[in-house]
Amino acid sequence: MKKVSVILIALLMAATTVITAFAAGINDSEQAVLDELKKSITVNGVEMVWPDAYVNQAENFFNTIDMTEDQKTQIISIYKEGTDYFLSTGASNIPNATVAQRRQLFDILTKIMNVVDGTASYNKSAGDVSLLDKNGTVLLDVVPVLVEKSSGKAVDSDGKQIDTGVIKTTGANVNYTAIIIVSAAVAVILAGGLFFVLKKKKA
Amino acid sequence: MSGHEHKSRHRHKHRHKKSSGLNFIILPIIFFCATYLIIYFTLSPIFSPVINEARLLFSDSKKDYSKKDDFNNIFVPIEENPESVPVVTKKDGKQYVDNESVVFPRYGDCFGQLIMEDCDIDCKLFFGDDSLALRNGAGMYNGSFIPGYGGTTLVGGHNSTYFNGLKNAEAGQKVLIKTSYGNFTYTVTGTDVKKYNDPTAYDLSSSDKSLLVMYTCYPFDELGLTSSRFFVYAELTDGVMINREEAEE
Repeated sequence: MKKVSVILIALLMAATTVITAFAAGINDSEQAVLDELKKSITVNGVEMVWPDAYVNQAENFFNTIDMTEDQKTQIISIYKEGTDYFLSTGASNIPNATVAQRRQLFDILTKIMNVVDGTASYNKSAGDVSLLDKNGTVLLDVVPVLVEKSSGKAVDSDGKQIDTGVIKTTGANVNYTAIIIVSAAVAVILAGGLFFVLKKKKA
Repeated sequence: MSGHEHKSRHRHKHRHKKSSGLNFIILPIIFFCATYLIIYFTLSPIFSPVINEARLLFSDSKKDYSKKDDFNNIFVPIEENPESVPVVTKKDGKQYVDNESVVFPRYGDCFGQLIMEDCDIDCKLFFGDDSLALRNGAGMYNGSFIPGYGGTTLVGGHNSTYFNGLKNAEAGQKVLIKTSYGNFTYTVTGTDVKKYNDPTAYDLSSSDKSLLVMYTCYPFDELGLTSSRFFVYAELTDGVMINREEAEE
């Protein structure tokens, strides 16, 4: 009986040390990942970084989880794999990489998200990538693009500025597709009505 | 005219009358219903914010922020019992909100209320600025920080609804953001009109300064897409900051 009690107590103690309670704030592992994300990389002679807004999104997400040392090691390792791969492509920025190269980068991103039980999703129409938790809730939403460290701007291969999606459309919430559909439908109805009236008059 | 011909003409006339009645009653009804349904289903997303705003204006009932809509609401006003928020005193002698007591919002959560009395703005504040958030209030960009965390809080809202009042913003006016972990008062320092992709319009790099940047499409009341935004800049003048350091175990 005494032996059983000792084993039970030992198991209980082991369990309490293994299960870490969620702690708000940024822990050392999370800070290490944030530091890695803030590091610049030199692409074709230009120092490039992730936009501040993206690193902030990661920080906000880390405030809702408690990253372990093991998760940190895995994430940084996969992240470095992604950085090395991107540099090997020779592209000046992520949007300028080929479709196959971007797909490869997306797969690496998915691997990172799998470490924290999440996934990644690409929205083709908006051109942004959403990082989601296992329930499908958005954790981060980014346009995959690096910005120049000096100016905070990103340009495509034609020198045109790429929007990082920080500022949203806050106009009168106009849905142009809806307006076109309604206009077309009304035109068809009016034409149909007119045709009917003319036909009647002729008859 | 034979009797047979007369009968046939009478039948034809009767059928024609019947057919005219059908055309002049049934067809307009079908046209009306079809047009109404098409307009209703396609334009209702456009008019719903205006209708919601009208309801807000003409309603004399007190706002009930505990009621859940199709979004997650984690906002519980604390004005009646501010002592309920636990604070910690740090080495600098200042009090901070204990971060253990703060429920950090997730994307899409309604986590506060934004009030700017001088501009007649009083709306829900969401974490994230997708269309659902902007349809129901103001949306905080999730790449900026929640009030009290430090750094910049970037909030957008539609110029036709919740942020239409920003056109009256002037330096010196107050903006109150209520959250479940504290109330924060900001003072407007200035306004500006800039392009939506102008990175100088806001600074999201980590900083000890607590700033609030609100924006909406410009010109105001213009239907359609516009590349300009009206920015209102404010800085925190009252509120207990969150302790950003993780509690030691």
